[in-house]
Amino acid sequence: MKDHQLAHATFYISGDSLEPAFWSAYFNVKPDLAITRGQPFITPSGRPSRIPGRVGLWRIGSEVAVRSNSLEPHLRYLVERLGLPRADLRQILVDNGARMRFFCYWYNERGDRVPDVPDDIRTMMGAMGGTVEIDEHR
Amino acid sequence: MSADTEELAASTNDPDYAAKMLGYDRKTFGKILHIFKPDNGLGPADNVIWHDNGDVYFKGSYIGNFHGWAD
Repeated sequence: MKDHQLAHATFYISGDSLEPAFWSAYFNVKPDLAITRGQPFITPSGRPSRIPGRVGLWRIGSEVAVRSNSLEPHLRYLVERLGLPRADLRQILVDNGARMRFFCYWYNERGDRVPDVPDDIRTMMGAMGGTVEIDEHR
Repeated sequence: MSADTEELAASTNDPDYAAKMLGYDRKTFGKILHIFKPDNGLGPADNVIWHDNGDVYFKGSYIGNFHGWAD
């Protein structure tokens, strides 16, 4: 197990009819995990899933590439890696019934850390029809 | 829940007990949970039940095996 970072971010595209190969080609990036709804898949530990995927998704995270306990470096890494913003992305999401978000891990044991999501990234995601969500753990 | 009950529990909906039952420290358990739920179409607030073999159920339906999301 890697040492425990207090923050990292994952970019998710999800939807019932999502086709992972389309998104891999669109971003020209290999995802950390791709699932087609209703199809078997390989779990992150490398084991075959016992049941088909419950949701279609395509995701890539920052945890391995970025060493920081703040969110901003993780988010900026993913923005650059994915070539965001993209002018056509909002409409593609609508056309495919897909959802896009940054899903951020935030460890806050004492409850005194405030997630540092830069305003420009939150605004950019909103303009493309996406969200930035914080998943706080204690 | 008493300590005796905890030791005997074969399933739980409490993340703290589930972490112990499955052999993860709480931080590692939280990191796995962070990706396990969205990868299986669940939100952070959805309550799941862990079994001692790692199987996870939501509203009575099998979701996946928690160990499959560990590094």
